[in-house]
Amino acid sequence: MPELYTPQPGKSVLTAQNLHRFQGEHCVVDDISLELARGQVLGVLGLNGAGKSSTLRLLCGMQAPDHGKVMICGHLMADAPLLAKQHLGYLPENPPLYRDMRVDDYLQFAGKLRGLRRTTLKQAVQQVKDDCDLGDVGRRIIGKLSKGFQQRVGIAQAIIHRPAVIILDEPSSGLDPEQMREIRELIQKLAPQHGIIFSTHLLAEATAVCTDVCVIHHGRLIATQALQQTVKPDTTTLTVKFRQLLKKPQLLRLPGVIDAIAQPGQRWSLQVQSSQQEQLLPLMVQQGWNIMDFGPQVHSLEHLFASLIRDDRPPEPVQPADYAGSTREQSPRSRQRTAISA
Amino acid sequence: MTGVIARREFHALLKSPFTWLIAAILQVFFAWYFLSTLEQYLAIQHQLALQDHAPGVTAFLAFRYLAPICALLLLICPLLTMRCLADEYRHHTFALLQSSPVPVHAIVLGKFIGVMGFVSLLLLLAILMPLSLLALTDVDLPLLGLSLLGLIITGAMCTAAGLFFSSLTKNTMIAAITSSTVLLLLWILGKGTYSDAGIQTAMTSLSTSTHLGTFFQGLLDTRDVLYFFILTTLFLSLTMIRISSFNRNGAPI
Repeated sequence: MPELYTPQPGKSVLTAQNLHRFQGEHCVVDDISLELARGQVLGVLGLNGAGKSSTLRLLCGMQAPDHGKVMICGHLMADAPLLAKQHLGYLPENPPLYRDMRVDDYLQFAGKLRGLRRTTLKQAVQQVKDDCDLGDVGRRIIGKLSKGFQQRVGIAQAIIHRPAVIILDEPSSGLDPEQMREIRELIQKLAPQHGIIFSTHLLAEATAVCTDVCVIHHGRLIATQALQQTVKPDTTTLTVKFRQLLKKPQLLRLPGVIDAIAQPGQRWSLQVQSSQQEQLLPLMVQQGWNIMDFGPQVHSLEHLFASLIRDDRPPEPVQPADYAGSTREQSPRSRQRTAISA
Repeated sequence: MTGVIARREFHALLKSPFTWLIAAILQVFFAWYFLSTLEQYLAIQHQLALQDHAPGVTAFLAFRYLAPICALLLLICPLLTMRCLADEYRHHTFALLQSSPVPVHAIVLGKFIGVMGFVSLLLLLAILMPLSLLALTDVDLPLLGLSLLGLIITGAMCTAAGLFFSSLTKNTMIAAITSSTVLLLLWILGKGTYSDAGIQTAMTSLSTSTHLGTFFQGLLDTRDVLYFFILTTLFLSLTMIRISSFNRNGAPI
């Protein structure tokens, strides 16, 4: 057995360079490069058939890329697949469950395949059952479990050996909202010690758990973006529309405002310290400014997504007012939105 | 790692009602066939006693009761192996093996050994019947041992072939039918009469049935052992090549 991988903060655990994959003449994965570090949760977004699953299959060595290379924890997938896979946990779109096995036996088998033995194996099974809330179903037969439990067993099999890289292909497909929330919590719980990649077409899910997102369209990586809220946790981005023309220094003079970015139509995107957020509106009114609109900036993945897929253009920040109808899918902050017209 | 996979395969077989059905039917067949062969022997016993070098009861049973079981294996082994890989594709469980640090040869050998464990148990049951005569008379134990070897070696070849055809498709029935057909073709290859003497020799030496006789006569011919060894290795290697090709072409989904 190879030595255990010791995590080094900030160091990438998975590197993919210029991955290509053809199916006949058709290019299903077209020049995709990715990097993943421990603590990072990378959401892979894309329409059905965009090449998400194909990309993930290349990343975890199920298929070899036609060009390009995948490296996991310093091991090239093409040259040392066994060493690379040691640090990999993969949950495919259809969880790889032996339906006639009991949960405990299945997890033990999955652990043994990853080289865990005896006491380590026992501890790992116990630990993973705690993590995935499978404590009560250990003796149950997998085929008789509900979809939510099956999905959790699927995740448990991917993380039982505590790999550096966890790849989940649509982990919440077919689950009810409560089960989705549980899966999300589980991913967040795992995030600090692992590098996680998961594909989804649920934008709300990506917003909720990802530190980074990338969008795949027609096999190409058309955008990679760090989600702002996770980058600077104690700041908030607000969108304000004024009637009069204002200058940037005027806005920066307000207490708590860290940055102001002009948008078309007298709109400003303000980065504000969360603690100062409440006092901002009265202060602006005191200045004698006419405020047409005031609210949190919806980090609209949906918009990003739609605009990217429509014409591959770089996305523009979105005004909450334009997306009032779709805010349910967005971050919880949008629910506290207050619009004031002066 | 081979052991881990073999154990799971063996347990998966034990958990399937289908396997027990096969085992039960086989056991009924063994018992009935054994008793009827024994009766035949008792009926012609005094005629045999007049011959020089008359066959004893073990020799008679080995040739009339154990040898035909080989033909049965052509049908039974593919039924036991048909799910090995085809079902893994169908239920998407193969991804677990593919994404785990398990070498291809461990997957193939593990599955082979797992099924062979069960096949050996079935064959042991067949041997138990003539062994039960120990209570009444002398039994030629080396001959029985050699017959068991012949049975197991045939079982190994049939299992390897079944495994290979199971690796080709995700449909279990197609896997079973094609492997049985190919094994049957190999079996009857030597039974035909060919106009050309060279072809006749080639076909006879390629055929499974011509290589089996010696085991049940109490002879250990390395050529025959080698024949089965080569065929088993061939089918196992083909399976490994097939599974390695998924890296290029993807597993059947």
